[in-house]
Amino acid sequence: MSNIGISSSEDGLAAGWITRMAKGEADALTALYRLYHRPLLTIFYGILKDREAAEEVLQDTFVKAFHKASSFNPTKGVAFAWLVTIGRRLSIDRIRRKRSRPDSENLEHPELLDDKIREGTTQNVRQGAEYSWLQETLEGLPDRQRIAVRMAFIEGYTHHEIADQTGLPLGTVKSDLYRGLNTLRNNHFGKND
Amino acid sequence: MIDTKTEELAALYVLDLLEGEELAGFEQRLVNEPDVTELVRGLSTGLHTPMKGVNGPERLDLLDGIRDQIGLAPEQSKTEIAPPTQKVVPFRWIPALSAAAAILLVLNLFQFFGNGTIPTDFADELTKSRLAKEALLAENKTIKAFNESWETEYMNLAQRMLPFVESRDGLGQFTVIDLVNVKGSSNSNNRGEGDIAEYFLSRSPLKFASVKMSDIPEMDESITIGYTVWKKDEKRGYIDLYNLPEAGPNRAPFLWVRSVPTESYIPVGYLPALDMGTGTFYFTINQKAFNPTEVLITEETVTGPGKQPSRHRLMVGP
Repeated sequence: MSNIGISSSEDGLAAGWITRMAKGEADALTALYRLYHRPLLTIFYGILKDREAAEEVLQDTFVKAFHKASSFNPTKGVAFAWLVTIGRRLSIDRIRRKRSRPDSENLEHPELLDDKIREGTTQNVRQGAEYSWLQETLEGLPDRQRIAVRMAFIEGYTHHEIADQTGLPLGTVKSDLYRGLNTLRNNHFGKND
Repeated sequence: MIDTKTEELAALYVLDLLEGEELAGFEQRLVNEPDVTELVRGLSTGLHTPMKGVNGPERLDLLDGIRDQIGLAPEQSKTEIAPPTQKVVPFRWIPALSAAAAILLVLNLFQFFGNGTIPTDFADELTKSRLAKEALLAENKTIKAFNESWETEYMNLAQRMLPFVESRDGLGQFTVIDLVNVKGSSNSNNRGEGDIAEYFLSRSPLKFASVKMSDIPEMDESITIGYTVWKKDEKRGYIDLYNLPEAGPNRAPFLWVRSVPTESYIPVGYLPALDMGTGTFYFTINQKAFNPTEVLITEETVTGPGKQPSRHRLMVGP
C-alpha cells in the first residue's frame, strides 16, 4: 500500500532542496532561502533584538545549512525546524558571548549608552509588528509555561539555568516546558488541552 | 505508551536542550520508536509552524552574501530556463490541455513578474520581481484586479515547479496531470481555465505583453480542479486540489493512481483533511518504474476502500 504524507508538501519540497544542497546545487539553496528567509530573519531578530546581527545570523545559517546539508535527517524534524535550530544556536552563542563580555565601550563612555538606547528604541518601534509573532504565539500559555518556553527558546537559557533563575525545582521546569509545547501543539491541531 | 519522562525529554529535544549521552540516547529512540517520533514531530510542529507565517521584510540582497561565503559565483547559482518557443513540453502522455495549463502557469508568472518579457534567467528575474510587479500593477488596474487572487497561487506553484525545471531540458522534468471535475466536464462548468490555456497557447509568447485581460474568459472560482506533479526520482507526487466536493456520510475522499489506462488503479490512501475542499499534499508510490498518468479521487467508506474504486467519483484526471 502506498501512502499520503502527513507533513505538508512544502516540508517535502524543502527536504528535497536540502538533499540537492548536499550535492552542491546552488539553485536549491536559492529556493530554500526564498521560502524561509523572511520568517527566519524575524525569529532571529526576536532572539537577538539587533537587526544587523540578525541579518548576519541569517546568512551564517544558510551557509552552515549548505555545508551541513548531508547531516539533515527528516525523521528528526522538518526543514524549517532544522534551520531554526541552526540559527537559534548561532544567535544564542552570540548572546552568551555578550553576557560574558560586558560592553566596555559603554562602561568607559556612559553617554554613548543613552544614544544606543534611543537608537534601539526607534528600531524596536519599527520592528514591533514583526516581533509580535512571539506574543501571539505564546500569549495563550499560562504564565509559568510561557516564561519557561520564552526563556528556553528566545533567551537561550538551559533548563538548569531556568530553574536557577526562577527558583523552581528542575522537575517543575521540565514539566512546564513540556506542558507549554503540548499546549502549542494542541492549539495548532485544534485540540482541547 | 509515552511516559512523563519521555514527554519531558521530547520537549527538551525540541528546544535543543539535550546534550551528550542523553541526546544520543533520545535520538536512538527517535529511530526505533514511532510514537516518540510522532510526539517530537507534534511538539515541533506546534512550536515552529506558527512562525512560518511570520513575514518580515524580503531581503533577497542578503542571498548574494551567502553565495559569496560559500564561494559560488553568481552565474553558477542561477537556473537557466529556455524560452518555450525553443523547447516544448514533451507530450508523451500528457493531454494537450494539461500541458497548456502547466505552460500557462509558468509563462503567466513570467509575464506577471517580468513585465511582459520571457526571462532567460529565472533566479535573476525573481530577484527583481517586487519592483517589476509594482510597476505592472500601477500600469494596469485591470491586471491588478485579476492577478491579486492569482499571485499567491502562482508563487506557491512556482515554488513547487522550480525543482522540476532543469536548464538542459526546459520543462522536460516537469509533469502535470490536470484533474477535471467529472460532472463539470459534462455541463461545461470547468471550461474557464481550459479556455485560458488554449488562449495563451494559440499566441506567440512574445506577444504576452499586449494581452488584454478583458479578452480572457471569466473564471468560475467554485470549479473543482487540481494539479498533480510527479517527481520520478523521489517516487513522490504533489497534488493541489481546489473545491473538491464533500464526501457523503461515513465516506471520505480516497486517492487512486495508475500508470497504464488498461491496468487497475492502485489505492494510495484517504486524503488528509481539506479546507473547503482545497489543500495541498504529497503521496508516494512504492513501485519500481511507476509513472502515474491517471489520478482518481473517489468517495470510499471510512471503514476501508474496496479493491476497486467505487463509482462515486469526485475527480478524475487527466
